[in-house]
Amino acid sequence: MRGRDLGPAEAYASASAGLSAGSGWLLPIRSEAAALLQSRGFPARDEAWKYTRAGNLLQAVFVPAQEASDVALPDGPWGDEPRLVFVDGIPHPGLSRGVEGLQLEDLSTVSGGCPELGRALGEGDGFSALNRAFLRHGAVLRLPRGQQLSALHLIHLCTGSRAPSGEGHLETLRHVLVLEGDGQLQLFEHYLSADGVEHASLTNAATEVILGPDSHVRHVRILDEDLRSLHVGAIGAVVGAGSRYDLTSVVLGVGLARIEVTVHLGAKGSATDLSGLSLLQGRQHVDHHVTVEHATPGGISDQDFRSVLGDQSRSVYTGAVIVRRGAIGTRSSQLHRALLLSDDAIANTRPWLEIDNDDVSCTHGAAIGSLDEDALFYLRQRGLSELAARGLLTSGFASQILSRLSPEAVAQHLLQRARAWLGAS
Amino acid sequence: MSTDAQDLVAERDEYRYGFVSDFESDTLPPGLDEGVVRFISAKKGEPEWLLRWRLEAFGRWREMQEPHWPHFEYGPIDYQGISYFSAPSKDAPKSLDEVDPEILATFEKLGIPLHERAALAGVAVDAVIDSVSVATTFKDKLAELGILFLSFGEAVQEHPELVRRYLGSVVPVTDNYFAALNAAVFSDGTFVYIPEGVRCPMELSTYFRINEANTGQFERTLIVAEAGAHVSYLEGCTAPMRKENQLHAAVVELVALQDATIKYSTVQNWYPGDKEGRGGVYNFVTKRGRCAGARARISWTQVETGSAITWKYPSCILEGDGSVGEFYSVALTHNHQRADTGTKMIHVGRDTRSTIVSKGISAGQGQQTYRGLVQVGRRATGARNYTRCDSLLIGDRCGAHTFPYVDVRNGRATVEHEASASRIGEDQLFYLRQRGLTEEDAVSMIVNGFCREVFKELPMEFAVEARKLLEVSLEGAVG
Amino acid sequence: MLELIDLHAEIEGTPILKGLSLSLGGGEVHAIMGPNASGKSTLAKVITGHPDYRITSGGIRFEGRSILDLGPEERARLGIFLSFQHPIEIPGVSTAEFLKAAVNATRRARGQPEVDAAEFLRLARERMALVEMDPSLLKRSLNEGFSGGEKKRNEIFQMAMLEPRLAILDEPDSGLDVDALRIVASGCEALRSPERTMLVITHYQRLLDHLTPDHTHILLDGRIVRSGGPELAQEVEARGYQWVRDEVAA
Repeated sequence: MRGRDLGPAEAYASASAGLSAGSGWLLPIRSEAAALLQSRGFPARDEAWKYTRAGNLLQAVFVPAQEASDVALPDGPWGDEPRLVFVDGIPHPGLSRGVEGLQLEDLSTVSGGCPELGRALGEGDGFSALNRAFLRHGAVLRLPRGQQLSALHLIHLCTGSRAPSGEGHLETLRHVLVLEGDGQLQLFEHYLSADGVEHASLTNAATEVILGPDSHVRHVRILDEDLRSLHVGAIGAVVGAGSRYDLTSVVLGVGLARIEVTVHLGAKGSATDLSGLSLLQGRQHVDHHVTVEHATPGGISDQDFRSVLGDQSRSVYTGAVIVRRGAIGTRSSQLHRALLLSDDAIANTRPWLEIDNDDVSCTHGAAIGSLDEDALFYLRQRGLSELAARGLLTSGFASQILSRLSPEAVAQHLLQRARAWLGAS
Repeated sequence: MSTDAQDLVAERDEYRYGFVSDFESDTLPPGLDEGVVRFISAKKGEPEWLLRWRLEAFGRWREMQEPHWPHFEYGPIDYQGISYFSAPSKDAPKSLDEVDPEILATFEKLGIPLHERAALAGVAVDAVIDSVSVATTFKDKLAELGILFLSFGEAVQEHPELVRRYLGSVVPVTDNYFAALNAAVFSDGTFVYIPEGVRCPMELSTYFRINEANTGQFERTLIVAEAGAHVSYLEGCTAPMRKENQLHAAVVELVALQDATIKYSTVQNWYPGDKEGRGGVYNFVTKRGRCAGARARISWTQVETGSAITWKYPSCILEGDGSVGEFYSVALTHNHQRADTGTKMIHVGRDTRSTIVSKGISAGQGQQTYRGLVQVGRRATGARNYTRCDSLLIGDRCGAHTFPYVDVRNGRATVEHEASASRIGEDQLFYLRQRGLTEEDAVSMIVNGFCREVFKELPMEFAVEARKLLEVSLEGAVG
Repeated sequence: MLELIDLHAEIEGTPILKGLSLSLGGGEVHAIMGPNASGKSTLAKVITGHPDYRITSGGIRFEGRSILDLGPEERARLGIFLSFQHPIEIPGVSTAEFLKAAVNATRRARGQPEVDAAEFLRLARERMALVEMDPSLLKRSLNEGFSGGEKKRNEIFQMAMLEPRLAILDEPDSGLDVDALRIVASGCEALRSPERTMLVITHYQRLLDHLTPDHTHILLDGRIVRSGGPELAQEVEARGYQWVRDEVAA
């Protein structure tokens, strides 16, 4: 049953009408989405939002920034690699670094339309409509057949400065990445806060990845913002024949985040490996909602999502694997683990399977609890203090996701952040 | 013989329990209003409080909506087209000798031991046909131990204070649509009371049968085990073949006090409908147990092979510290059958433990859904749950869906969930066939192995019956 | 150096050790044999302070002092090492990372300087050779995906690194083929010294062929029922345990 909450929806829908800038083809998409948002509202009492209250993302009606403020780019694992930097949702050419011959543009300057927009992320719920109602900026990358890009960093900086309305900003982004075939891409999305954030802001970022045949995308998404920030992320991938889409979603800093991942395995031999790590403390709340659809024979999907929960934090994981009739030879695994470091943390898990065909091999599992007592004893028997043993086991739990990331610089950066987190918790 | 007739004969062979018994019955015309509720209550000579309780339930039911969830759809039910009371018309028999011989013959055909066979089997049986309890064996022997094993109607007359204390205490009137309907119109059922410290010396059993056309069966079972008491209870169900769907909306409430154990086993073989999905029982049942005292234990075991649609989630509320809940389930859906089943384990007390083992088998166009909740509350320090949930798929048009919910609100709890879905391994099949088994026997052997963990929880006689039922239900599933 | 005095211990209310007394002198090797469920592994866990076991009466003295109030890591730092029958797998934690932390925790407790990464690696390589262990295992997650033989050799390697005063070897031979058994046993033999006492728990004589005990004890139903020299182990190998049971019952 989908409920509705029209108050903020109407406010956002009417605010979107005043949005300027961008190519003409964006306008009908915006107005259609605004109308949809107005009629549908935001989700309320929706099964998909059972453990996260949409209302908590709608504490205020945030407004988009007019221009990119001048801020410094923090240190990060991007080195000299190509990057697009967005400040409060607005491209900042001065901080960005392009590459010769790359078909990479901002959405607002793409002329004549982007046919792939909406292919990997459909109509969706109210937050998806909100994203399209404020459609303006985002990276549009097209890799022609046979081309490889070893790294592209999309860096989002949130200043948390006060918008004229008195609140932080609304950042909406829509990235569209297209691999025409036989291509490779390593995509890094960084969501960061600038120093001196004073106000909560709402990020609504959608990323669509369209893989033609025989392509491989490795996508790492890092959410490391101020603890007040609100975040709605949508990631959609359509995976072509013989192609593979891998995603790792790392959440370190955010107040409340809802991250939806939708992967469509719609061509023979397509595969996906999805993983996530959330390190949460205080009252942080992170909801990963993953849907993998196996629509054709021979698809393979794996999921490994983990959370480490301190204080009163909460993690929500829903992983739905759908195997359509005819998707024979499907193999799928799903795993969710939550490590509770505090008595007051909450973990909600829903590893779902919907199978309409017999030639499948699907597993799912969940493990929620504190550290393994036998492993603790083993380490203490070797002379480690209980505290050191707990730390080692916890970092081992996290590094199982982080250490397999490449390149090394990104893995090391995250391992370091994770260690800092553990030291502080 | 026409093809239709041949099919009918073939189906009769497949559904061994599909005969219609020919005894006179006293059936209320179809329809449901307050008058019907009052009629049932009056017919049973119920006290005023119980009539008021029913009327409240009826009022609430009228305001509620039928549950319709993803992967749980069913055709419209005409609640006005159902008769809410059907009883064999003679006055209640005083002893087995007075029981209508036709009824006894019915149970004979079902393999229910009502006479000496009962004594040999050591099973005390309450038999419910359509809505009314017709015979309860071993009552006197049990009474010597202070054990009450009565039809619900008798219990209301003879022990109103006990019924009043516990009725609706585990499944409130407003719990869900079908539970509310049951509360309004239930016509009979079984009441069991085991006094403090008593170990019931035999298995208690109820056999249910829907006989009349267009009748619903709405029975209620209430089992109370006082501190330290122990009881094992079995329930079996069959129904004749009817072209129309029949509604069965039962409620079972269990209350286990400190150190008490209740083991509740079900073999459900209501008529599943024909190969095209016509007819069959809608089996919408609410079952819940409350471990009210420390170290109480409630164990549900179910083998669900029948019914067109099964909708039930036998659950445990683990209030007492150290209390234990268990759910062992085999559900088989073939042809057009659908089963939506699972459990809820609500951990309230400290060091509570629960185990869930669910085995689903889908064949033909059968659809199977596991829906379950494991909830660990803030107080439930040291709680542990282990869930194992497996689906076996036979044929490319069946479906298996798994919707577990895990909700942990205590940092010193451990919840583990494992699940798998797959078809029978070609190499397993080949191995068995190479050893000389037919494909059908090989499948049956593999399926039995798949269900072993659950079957071993059943009392012996039931385990044998469950195995056979599975074989019969799977006929024609391969090849 | 180790005194077990009329030890009674239970797990979840079930008594396992029922009055066990045993005395080990410095530098001695003692073998404990006994049928399944006689309490052998419990003995190892009780000496090392596993939190699941409760000592209901009796005492444990190590080098003259009671260790009952000490946590597992404190006992470990005194020099008590347990080679686990079933070594624990710890995904995500590399063998090197773990062992370096363990070595330095132990050294700190003993007032010795910590080893740095280079020194640790040098030591580790040297001592891995003792049990013919592939140095690449250092980088892998602790025991994860190790074969049975690799896990057991890893235990002996850790013993070599931690240099304990008392080594309790809980079935270091279980699940090993002939070659792996020889490697593990000769590794243990090489670590035998007047400074190190060993308590070897085993089912089989074959380990003791390589690592000859000074004393052999038979554990039955939570008590030591026979003690003798190496010949007692041979007698068990030849005759099983039934004769011991019969004699005890008589």
